[in-house]
Amino acid sequence: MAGITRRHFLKTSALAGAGLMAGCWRNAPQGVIFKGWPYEPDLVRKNIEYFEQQSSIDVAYEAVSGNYHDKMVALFVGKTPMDCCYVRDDDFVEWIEAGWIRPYEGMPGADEYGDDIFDYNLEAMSYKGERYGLPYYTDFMVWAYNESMVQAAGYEKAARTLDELTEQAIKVKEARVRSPAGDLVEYPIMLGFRQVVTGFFDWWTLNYASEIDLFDDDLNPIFPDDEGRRAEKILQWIVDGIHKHRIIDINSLTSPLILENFAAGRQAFAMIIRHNMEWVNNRENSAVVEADLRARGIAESETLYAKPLKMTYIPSLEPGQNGTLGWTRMYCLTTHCREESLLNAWQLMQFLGGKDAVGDYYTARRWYRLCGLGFPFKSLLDDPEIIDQTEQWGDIEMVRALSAVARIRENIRAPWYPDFNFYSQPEIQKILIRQLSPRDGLARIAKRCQELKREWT
Amino acid sequence: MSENTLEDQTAGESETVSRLTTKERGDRIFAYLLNVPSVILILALIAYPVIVSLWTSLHRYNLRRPQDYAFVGLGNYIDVLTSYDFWHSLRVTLYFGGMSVALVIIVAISIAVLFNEQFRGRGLARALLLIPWAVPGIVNGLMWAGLFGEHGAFNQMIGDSFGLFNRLTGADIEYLGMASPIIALNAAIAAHVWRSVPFACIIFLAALQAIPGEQYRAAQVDGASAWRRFQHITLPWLLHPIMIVAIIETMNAFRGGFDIIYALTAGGPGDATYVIAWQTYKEAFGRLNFGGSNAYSYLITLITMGLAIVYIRVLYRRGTVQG
Repeated sequence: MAGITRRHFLKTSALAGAGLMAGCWRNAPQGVIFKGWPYEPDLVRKNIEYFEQQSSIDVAYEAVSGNYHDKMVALFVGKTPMDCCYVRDDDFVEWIEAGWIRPYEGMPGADEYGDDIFDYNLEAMSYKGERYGLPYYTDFMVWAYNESMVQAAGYEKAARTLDELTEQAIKVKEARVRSPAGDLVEYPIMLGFRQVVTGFFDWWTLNYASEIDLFDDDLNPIFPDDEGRRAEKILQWIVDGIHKHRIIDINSLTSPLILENFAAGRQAFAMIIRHNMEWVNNRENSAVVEADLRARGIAESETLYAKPLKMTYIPSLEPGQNGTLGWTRMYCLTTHCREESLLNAWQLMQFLGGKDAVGDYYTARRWYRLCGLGFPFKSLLDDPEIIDQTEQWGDIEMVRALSAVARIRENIRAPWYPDFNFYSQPEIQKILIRQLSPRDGLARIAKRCQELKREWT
Repeated sequence: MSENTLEDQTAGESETVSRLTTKERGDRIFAYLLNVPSVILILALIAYPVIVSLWTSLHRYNLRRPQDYAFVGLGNYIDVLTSYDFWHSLRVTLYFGGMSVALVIIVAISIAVLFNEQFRGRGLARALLLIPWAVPGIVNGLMWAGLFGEHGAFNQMIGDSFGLFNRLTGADIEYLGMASPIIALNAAIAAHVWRSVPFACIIFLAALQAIPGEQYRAAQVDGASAWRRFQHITLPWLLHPIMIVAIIETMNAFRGGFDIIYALTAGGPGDATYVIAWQTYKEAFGRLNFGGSNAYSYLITLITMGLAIVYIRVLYRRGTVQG
């Protein structure tokens, strides 16, 4: 071999190896290691910077891109160092059962937050009597409607029952209303039945709005033979809406663009997440709002918001029924949390999911102000700043009313919830495209629930 | 080469080795040492995961119940083979794979034959042909989701055709778009074929260029039509490349439908597009059932290997024209 001796080769290799090791060593994160999904990571970094100034604790934050659940599973299995992370209530029990997150009982100030948090949020962050999470954000589903389209169909108020909604939607369709861009509103209603990991929120919401319990206290399915077969009626209403009355867009099964369509005025009704009311009533996102503000001669410099898209109660089977689906995203300590970082990680968690050093819900307030993200703290609903902000694009009274009746998915506390979720979504879609009748589909889902329950007992 | 000759040669080599000087022996060892890092990498990155995966498939191992880890032998394989999910996803995959392989071969041969002719801009056309191949699977899935989505061009086109048919015939056939199991599955196939054709085309183009021109000229002199020239000259020369493409595309269809399904249909509507790769993913990351999902992976491997053997047996003997 010319130009290179054995000794030289070995020396160079050893140096390169040492350099590589040194590089790895230098890249080991310092301080509290915190990971989350990449929603507004710059804003998270700013929050953390403020925390670092207040506490002098270093935080190594990483926004985990891609499929958060799958990547986190890989990180946990690979025993990647991590002290604190975001957790969805969908994954919460799974991660506890897998031994990846730990309760915070016994940490200083741990009992401080219970009284001011809504019950459904507390329930979502607890398991087998122990508390694990502090809230990152929480929200619930609302019924949104285009006021001018409802009025064009001859109605003053939005429907409260599903039968009324059918009538209104048929009338909207007959009125041949159009979006600001001139698209005919062919299907006035859009729902969310696309297969996604976070589940069919609209199915749960419609059931809860009609005050239907889907599971008993032991998490046995009550459907399809619940009192009055109401769970079946809900699905039948959707099937009829799609195929018989043709008022529900079939793209409800496939479209990720519910908000966009609704904001563009292609639909008159949609079930959306409460914080998205801010998005759809913002003229930067919504052709409906832009048209409304222009018609009133209000310039862009004057305001971003208007309220032509209203929020209200979810239509139910019977008048006077109330309910909606709520969920919680939270911060949890991981079981990989190093002992020397535990108190610092808990302090970070409190700052992000509770109060800062001066006793303010700094992060929750900031999230709400900048992104409209919901919070679980009852006292913030009386905060004048929050009320003013909400009234720009929504309805604080409706927020209060729906916050009070929001429920978590009953079986989300079962370790078999992910299996249920993956099984039920295709089955419900089969019902909606009439491959199965609502009764048969629900019976199959109920049977699977019993099997899973046995498997996990 | 006879056995004796081989033995003689081996014996000769042994003598040569024993006659090596210390320096030469050291050089040989050094050469082996240089290969050690690559061998370690290959063992670590390929052999180790394959063995661990096989071992895991023989265990009850659900990440949600780590304490319940136990050796179950072929239990996971039996569970998988007796489940509706497996047989359903296998049926979907066979349809997906069968259609994909057939379409890729037909379309790629057609394009390759065309691009084998002399015409202006052929170089540019050949370069453009590679673009779909360079597109990542997820991006490809999203692009087709746009085309078949509610505001997509293909969706509008098919929807308008349904509307026209209804108007002309007075029928009331409901157009479901991507909520139709047939449309969703075939849209996924179209996306997969679009991405796979360039690679197959390159293989077929290379094979076409190896066909001696005098065979075509002789056939022309004998008055053979274009179709007969294709049937009796081109096709026999392409049988080995077809076999290679068929094997590779079958493997791709079994393993690679995943990214397209992920972006395009998420398995829906219902379970109409649950190809086996998607089912495996659901088992692994949805249910965290790593024992079962590894059993799925090995079954996919066995099925693909079985199909490859069938291709080789059917096509290899026929494609002997190249000697």
